[in-house]
Amino acid sequence: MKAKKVTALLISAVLATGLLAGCGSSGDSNGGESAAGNSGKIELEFFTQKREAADTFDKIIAEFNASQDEIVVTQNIVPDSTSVLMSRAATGDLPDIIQVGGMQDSNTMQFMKEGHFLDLTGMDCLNQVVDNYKEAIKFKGKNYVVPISANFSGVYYNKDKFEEKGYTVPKTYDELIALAQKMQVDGETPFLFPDKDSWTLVQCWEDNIDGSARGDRKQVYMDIANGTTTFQDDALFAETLQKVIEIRQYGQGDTLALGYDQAISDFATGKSCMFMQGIWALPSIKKANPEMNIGMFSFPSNSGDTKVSMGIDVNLAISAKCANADAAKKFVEFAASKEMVQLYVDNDYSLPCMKDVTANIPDAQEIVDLVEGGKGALQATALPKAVSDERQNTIQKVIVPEGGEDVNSFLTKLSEVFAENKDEFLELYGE
Amino acid sequence: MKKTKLVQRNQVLFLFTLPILIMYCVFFIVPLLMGMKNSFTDWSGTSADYNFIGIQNYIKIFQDERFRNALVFNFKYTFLLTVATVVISLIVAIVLNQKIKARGFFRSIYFLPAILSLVTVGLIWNELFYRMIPAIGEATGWGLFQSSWLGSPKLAMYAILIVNLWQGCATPIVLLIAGLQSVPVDLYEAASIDGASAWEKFKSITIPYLIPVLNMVIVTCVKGGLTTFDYIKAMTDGGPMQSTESVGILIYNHAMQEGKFGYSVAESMILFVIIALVSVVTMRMSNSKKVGD
Amino acid sequence: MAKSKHIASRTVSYLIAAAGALIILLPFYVTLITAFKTPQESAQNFFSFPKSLYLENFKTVFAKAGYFKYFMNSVVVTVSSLILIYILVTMISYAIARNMKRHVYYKFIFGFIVLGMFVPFQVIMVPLVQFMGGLGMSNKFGLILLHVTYAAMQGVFLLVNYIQNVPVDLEEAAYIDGCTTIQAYVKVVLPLLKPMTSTVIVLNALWVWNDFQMPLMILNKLPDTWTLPLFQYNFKSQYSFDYNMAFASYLIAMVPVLIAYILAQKNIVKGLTAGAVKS
Repeated sequence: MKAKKVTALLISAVLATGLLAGCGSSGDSNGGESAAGNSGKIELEFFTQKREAADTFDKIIAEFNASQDEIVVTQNIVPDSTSVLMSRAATGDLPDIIQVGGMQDSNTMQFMKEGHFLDLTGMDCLNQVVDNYKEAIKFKGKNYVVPISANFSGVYYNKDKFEEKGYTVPKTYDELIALAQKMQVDGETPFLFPDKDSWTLVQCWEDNIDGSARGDRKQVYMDIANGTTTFQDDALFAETLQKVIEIRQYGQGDTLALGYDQAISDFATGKSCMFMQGIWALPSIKKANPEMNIGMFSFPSNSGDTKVSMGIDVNLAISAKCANADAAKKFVEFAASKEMVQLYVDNDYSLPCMKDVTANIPDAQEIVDLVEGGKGALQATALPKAVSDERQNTIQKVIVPEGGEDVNSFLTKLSEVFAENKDEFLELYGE
Repeated sequence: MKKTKLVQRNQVLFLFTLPILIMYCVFFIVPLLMGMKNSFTDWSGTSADYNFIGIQNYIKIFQDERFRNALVFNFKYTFLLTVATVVISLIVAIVLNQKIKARGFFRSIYFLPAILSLVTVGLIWNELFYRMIPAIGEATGWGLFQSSWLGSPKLAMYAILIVNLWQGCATPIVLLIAGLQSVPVDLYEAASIDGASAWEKFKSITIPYLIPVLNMVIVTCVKGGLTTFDYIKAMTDGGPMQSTESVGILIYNHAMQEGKFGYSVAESMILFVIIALVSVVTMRMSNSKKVGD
Repeated sequence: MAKSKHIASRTVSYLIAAAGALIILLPFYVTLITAFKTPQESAQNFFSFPKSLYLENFKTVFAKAGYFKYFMNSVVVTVSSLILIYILVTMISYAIARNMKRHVYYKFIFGFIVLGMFVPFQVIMVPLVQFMGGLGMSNKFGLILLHVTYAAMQGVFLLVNYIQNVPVDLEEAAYIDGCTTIQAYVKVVLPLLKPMTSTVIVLNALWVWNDFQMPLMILNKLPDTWTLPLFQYNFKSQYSFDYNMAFASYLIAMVPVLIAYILAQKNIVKGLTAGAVKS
C-alpha cells in the first residue's frame, strides 16, 4: 500500500519536473542557438537606453562583430530602461557596456559616484575628444565615460508654413513674441508644449530658454552652493522662468494635456508652426513625416546674443564588474573611432564629440553654425538629485493659472532643497 | 488498521503542502525579509554600501506630505472605484439577466475588456482621451470637453477611474449574472403572491444571494484600488502636478528614479499594513451582512 | 397598463445594454481603424474608417520584431504556469482544507500564505531580482515558478474556502472501498473541485498572459525569451511618435487572446463563475 502511494507521488513529482525541464531546456536551446555559432568567443552585452539610436547602434555592432573574430557584442534594449538599470545595479549585475546620458544627468552622476563604472583613463579614444569637452567629461580628474555625441536644444519650425506666410526667424525675444502674436492672428498655433511630460517642461526652461541666454550653468550653481546667491535672487532664473509662463499663451491651449510622443506626431503633421525640443526629437519627427521641411533656431535671448545650450547625449561606460574589461574597451574604442562616430552622428543628427568628424544636420544648420562659431555651452554640471527631482516633480505648478504656485515660491523651494543637499554638490564640484 | 491508514493519510496530506510551501518561502518570504531589512537602511538602491538607520525612514514618512497626499488619493480612488464597480456591474448584470434579445451577444461583449493587459488598455485610452475629448468638445461646445482630462489636475483621477472601470467591471458583471441566476425562481414567485414590490424582492431575495459574489468583488476592488499602479503608469505617471500620484507610483518613483530605495521599502511596508487592515475590515463587514447562510 | 410598463422597462434595458456595448467597443474600433491608417490620414480624422487597407504598419511590426517568437514564449510560460498551478495549488489547498480544523500546522500555513496577497509587489521587487539572479533563475523557468508562487496566494484562499464546503462523504466512501489517499484525491476529489479549479485557472490565465512587471524584471537580459507584453511595450516606446504603428502592434498582440476568447468563450465564462457562485 505504502509503496503504491510513494510511486504515485514520485510519478507526479517526475511529471512536474519533466514539465519544468521541458520548458527550461527550450529556454536553453534558445540561448544555445546564438552561442553555438560563436563557440569560444567572448560575449558582451551592450545596454542601450536611447531607443531612437537602436538602429544605428545595430549597424556599429554589426561592423564590430565582423571586424574581428574573438568578441561578439549584442545590443539589449528594454522597455522602462531606468528601472531595469537600477535594479541591475542593485543586484551587482550591470551590463558589460552601458550607454548613459551626459554629465548633466543626475542618474549618470549617481552611478559614477557609487563606483559602478570602470576607470577608463588613458584610453586612446579619449585623446580624440574635442578639446573643449576634455575637462568637462572628467569626474574627479578621471575618465569613466567616453562621449560619442552631443545634443542641443532649440526651436523647430515648419519651413513650409514660414515660407507660405512670409514669417522670418526671430533674432530677439521680442521678435519671437511678435511673431507668435502674428501667427495667432493668422489662425495658426505658434507652439506645441508637451507639458504632460514634465521633463520636457524642465528642458524648456533650463536648456532652451535659460541655457540659450546664460550659457554654462556651472558658476551659478557653485554660487548657490556657496550661499552667495539663490535661485530666486539670481536675476536670470526668475526672468527665464517667467518667459516659460509667458510663451505658454501662444501654445495649443491646455498644455498639460499633451504628451511628448503626441506632440511629435502633431508637429510632424502640421498642427503648429514651432516646437521647442532637443535635437533628439528630429529622427522621430522625420520618421513620422519624411516629407516635412524643418528648420531650427536657438531660443532667442533679449539682446539677440544667443548661445546654444548643449549636453553630452551619448556616453559609453563599462561596468566596474565587467569580466572581460579588455574586450569591452576594444568595443568602446571601435565605437568611438572617427568612422563610427561619423556614422553615428549622421544617423542621429547630433554633434560629434570626437575631432575630425563633421556634424551633418542640414535641418539645424543655423544652430550648428552658432556652435562652430564658439557659441556652444556644454552643460556638464548636475544638480543634486534631490533638487532635480523636486524641480521635475513640481514645475507643472508654475504654469497652471489657478491652484498653482508663483515663480518666487517655486524658486525659493528649490533653493531650500539645494541648501539641504549642498554638501553633496560641493563634494563633487568643489575645489 | 484504521489508525495506520489515518497516519498514512496525514503523511500524504503533509507532503501535499510541501511544494507550494517551499516555493512560497523561497520566492516570496526570503525576498520579503530581504526587502524589510532594507527599510531600516539609507540604501540608495544602487550604492555598494549603506547604513542602518533604525526606524528613521518610518518617522520621516509619517511627516512626509507627499506620502500623505498619495494616501489620500488612494483612499479617494479606492472608495470611488468600489462604489462605482458595484453599482455599474449590478445594473448591467440585472439588465443582461432579463430575457432580452441578443443577450448572449451582449454578455460576450461586456467581458471583452477583461482579456486585455492593463498596459495596453492604458495606452489605448491615453490616445483616446487626447483625440476624442477635444473632438466631442468641438462638436458640442461643452467646456468640460475642451481638452484631455488626463491633463487636468482636477479631472485626471476621474479619467483614470473611467478606464479602470471600463476594464474592471467585466469580471464582476459575469460573476453577478451567475449570482442572479442562482436565485431560485420560485422565491420570486412566492414573494409576488405575497404582494412584495420589485424593490422589496430585490432587497430581501436578490441581495442575500449575491452577497458572496459582492464580497469577492469588493475585496478585489479595495486591494486593486489601494495598490493601483499600471493604469496610472501608462496614462499620467502621477501627473499633472502630482495629482494622480498613488502610493504605488510614489514607491516606484522613490525606488527606481529618485535613489531612495530604503525609504521606498518602508513606504511599501506601511502600505502593506494598511491594505491588510482595510481588507480585514471589509471582509468582516460584508461577512456580517451575510444572511440566510 | 402592465404591458406598457413592461415595454418601457424593456426599452430601458435595451438602451443600457446598447450604450454600454458601444463604450466597450469604441477602443477596439479605434485600435482597428488606426492600425490600418497612415499618420496623415489619422491626423485628418481620427475616427473615420480607413480609405484603403494600408498594410505598411503591419509589415513593419512583423519585419522589426520576431512576433512569432514572443508569441511562443508567452504560450510556453502561460501553459506551464497553469499546469503547475493546477497540480500544486489544488494539492496544498486540499490538504489545508481537510486538516485545518484538526491541526494547527495547516491553520498556520493557510494564514501564512494568504497573508502574501496583501503585500505590494514593490516590497519584494528588487530583492527578488537580486535573489533570482543569484540562483541563476533569471529566465523563463524562474518566471514560471514565480507565477506559480504568486498565483498560489489567491488560489489557496479561493480553493480552501471552496473545499471546506465540499462534503467528505464521497471521499470516505472511497476509502472504505480501499482507495489510497492519492487515488481518492485524483478520482473523487479533483472532479468535485472542477468548478473552483476552473475559476482559478481562468483568472490566472488572464493574469499570466498579460503580466508585464515580473517578466520585465526577470527576463530583461534575454530578449529572446520575452513575452508578448514586453515586446509590445518595447515596440510602443520605440515607435511611440507613430501611433498608427503602435496601434498596429496593439492589435497584433490582441489577436491571439481575442481568438482564444471567441473559441473558448463559453468555457471561460463558465469557468470564471463556477467557483464563485454557490449553486
